[in-house]
Amino acid sequence: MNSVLKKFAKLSAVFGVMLFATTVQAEQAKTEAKQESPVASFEQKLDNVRDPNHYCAQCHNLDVAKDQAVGTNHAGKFHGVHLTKENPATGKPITCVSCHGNISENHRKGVKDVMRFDGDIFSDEKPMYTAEEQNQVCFSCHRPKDLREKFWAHDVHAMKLPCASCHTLHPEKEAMKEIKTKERVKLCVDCHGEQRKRKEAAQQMTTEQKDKQ
Amino acid sequence: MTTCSRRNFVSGVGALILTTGTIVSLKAQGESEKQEKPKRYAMVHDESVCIGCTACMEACRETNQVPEGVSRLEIIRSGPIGEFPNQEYEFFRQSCQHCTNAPCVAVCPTGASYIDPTTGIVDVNRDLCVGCQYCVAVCPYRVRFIHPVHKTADKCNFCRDTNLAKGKQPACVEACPTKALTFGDMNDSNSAVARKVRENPVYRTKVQLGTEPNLYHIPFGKGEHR
Repeated sequence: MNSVLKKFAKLSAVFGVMLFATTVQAEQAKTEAKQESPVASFEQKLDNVRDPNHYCAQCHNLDVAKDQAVGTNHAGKFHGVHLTKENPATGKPITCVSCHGNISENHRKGVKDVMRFDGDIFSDEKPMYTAEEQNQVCFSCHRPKDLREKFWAHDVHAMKLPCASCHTLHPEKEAMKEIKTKERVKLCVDCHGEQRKRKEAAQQMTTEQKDKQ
Repeated sequence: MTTCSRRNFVSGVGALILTTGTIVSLKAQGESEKQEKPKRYAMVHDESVCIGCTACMEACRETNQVPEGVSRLEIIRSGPIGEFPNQEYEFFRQSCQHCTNAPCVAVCPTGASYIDPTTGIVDVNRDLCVGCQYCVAVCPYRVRFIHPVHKTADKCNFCRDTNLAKGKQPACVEACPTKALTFGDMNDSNSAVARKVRENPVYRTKVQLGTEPNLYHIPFGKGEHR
């Protein structure tokens, strides 16, 4: 009898310990759950909150091969640090429309509502937006002081040259990121050399015209 | 029969020497007029068109094999002038002035520093230089340095042994995208450099020291120039 009683006592003790352990675990789980979702910030991840970039990306294909892409604006992949940063004005993630503006359906027909960043200053076509209009988008976040600290030449090009002439935002590696001195100098030389050539050619034209008269 | 007395002989020879001597000297004068005038190479840095891209510095380093850490040519940036977004910077070229009255040549104890008489270029003979650094100390323009490889004094020599020897313009002049640098002979009044100096407001630095520098600057035009 004694041995049976002893066994029962042991078993009950083990059960008791197990029960206690489970309650403790449950308690811990509760506290953890509380820490995970504090009452103050009610943030639900709902599926019906659509990804704001999704609509754009349906046509402007993300991560497609270049030969599959359609048109000049649809080419290539969208990468870059901007997609991981927050808009300092709103605290919300930067989306396509943060920079490209209020876009209507008619932008497909070339309506001037989407901000088009065009860096090619030697193109024969006149860009839809001037350098100043383009750069004001960038300057809404990037302060002149920070830009100067990064590189002095930001100051002298500020509103004269589109940021997109040197900077490329959507490729995997931004063209100016960790650029070597030699390559940077080459950029200056190529652009300013071309400018001087065009200027000289224009002067030549005017003198020839004067000679004819 | 004519007798050649000693008196007649001496006077005759004297007359001969006198006439031929003058002829020879006349001939010499005529020759010197035909001879080319020695060159005086100079450079103009137009600060009003310089964009400070430092392509000249890179080109110099490459052409003349100047190691990192030292440089024959430096573009010093100052500014900005004005308010954003209309700001400007001033660029100043610091390099050898190729002084006609060069202090570095005067102090050199071995004769390694010299002015090339045909071009006016101040150069260093590496075989003679002992690296005493007198010239480094005396140069009022602070453009000399000890070459880390050769351990001798070094500085700009207008690419005398590299580009000029090949009949080209100095590397910095060729590299400049805005044609801010002009190089040529100041003794030739029709040369581009002489015209630049004649037709523009120019300045040279530390002229009061009597060094007669040959690096001219066309001032930036804003703020106080050097």
